Amino acid sequence: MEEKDVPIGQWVAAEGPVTLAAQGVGSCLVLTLYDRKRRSGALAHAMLPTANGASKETENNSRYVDRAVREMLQRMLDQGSQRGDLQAKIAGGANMFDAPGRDIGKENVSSAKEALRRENVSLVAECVGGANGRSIEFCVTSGVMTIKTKL
Amino acid sequence: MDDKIALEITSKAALHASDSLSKLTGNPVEVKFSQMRTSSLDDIPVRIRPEEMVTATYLRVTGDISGAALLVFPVEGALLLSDTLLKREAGTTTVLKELETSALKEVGNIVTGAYLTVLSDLSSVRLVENAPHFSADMFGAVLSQVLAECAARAQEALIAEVEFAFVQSPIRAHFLVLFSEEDSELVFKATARA
Repeated sequence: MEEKDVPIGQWVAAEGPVTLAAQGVGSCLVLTLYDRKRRSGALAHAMLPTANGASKETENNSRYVDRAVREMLQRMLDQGSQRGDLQAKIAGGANMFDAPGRDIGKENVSSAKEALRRENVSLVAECVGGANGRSIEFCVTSGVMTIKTKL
Repeated sequence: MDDKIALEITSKAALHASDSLSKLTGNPVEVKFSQMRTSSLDDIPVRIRPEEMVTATYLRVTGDISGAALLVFPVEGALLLSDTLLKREAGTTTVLKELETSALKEVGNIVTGAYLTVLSDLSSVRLVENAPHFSADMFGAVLSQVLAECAARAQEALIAEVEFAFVQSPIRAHFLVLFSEEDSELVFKATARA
């Protein structure tokens, strides 16, 4: 089984015996899309909730949850997936420092749910929030997401 | 950033931090900073794997400019440092509870405070360090949250390795300071003029 690491601010779509992985996820949001019929999938490792105000030309689009969802979904539709066959899972969105003020993790989770609702893709599982980091693996052929937390 | 200025700042900060930590521990300790390097936020060159367990003290910086500072220890180093700070025999601390966390936060306070004080004195730019926040978790998870909080403003980070040379054994950490490009320019140009 080939394993591909997906760094922050990127997304990867794959078919066949591939595991997509995101290591040491804190407030970032990992979102996977899985096509049950084509047995293909994609994983996004996004850092910030929305691209509001960010320049489209100069910014890395995939660092934003909303843009990453849109781009990744478009790629899967272009490759032959039907929207109704897609299942989404999300993980991450922690608040590692419990610092007062902006809770980016929570905002990332809300942004992902909103983007999926807007795109009419069903969210079938989530493991979000809390104050612990997560390492996430996503098997593209089975759609199974495995989450590791160190306590 | 000019190498000579960077060296002057870290040398003075090291002296301040050494003095404060020696008082705190009741034993002589020498804090050494490596040369501060500038790095893109997309590629922080710290030789710690994303899944490696670390302790991290995170302080927001406010004042005339805004930014953040992060002091990161591999967890083994943090346990050893806790022993030293709490005047225990090396190897005693195996779990980080409230007392150990508080002591490690204080070290974050001291190192960040020393660096910002020197920078502020030399540049005449007002820099205020805020209350420290602590996490013991995977390096990638703690770093990415700080990067996310700064990503809207900052594009680069200043990074140095810090060595705490205690009599018994040295303990190494990574120190990161994040300012926006404009704020960095403001501070370091003012420092160069001074």
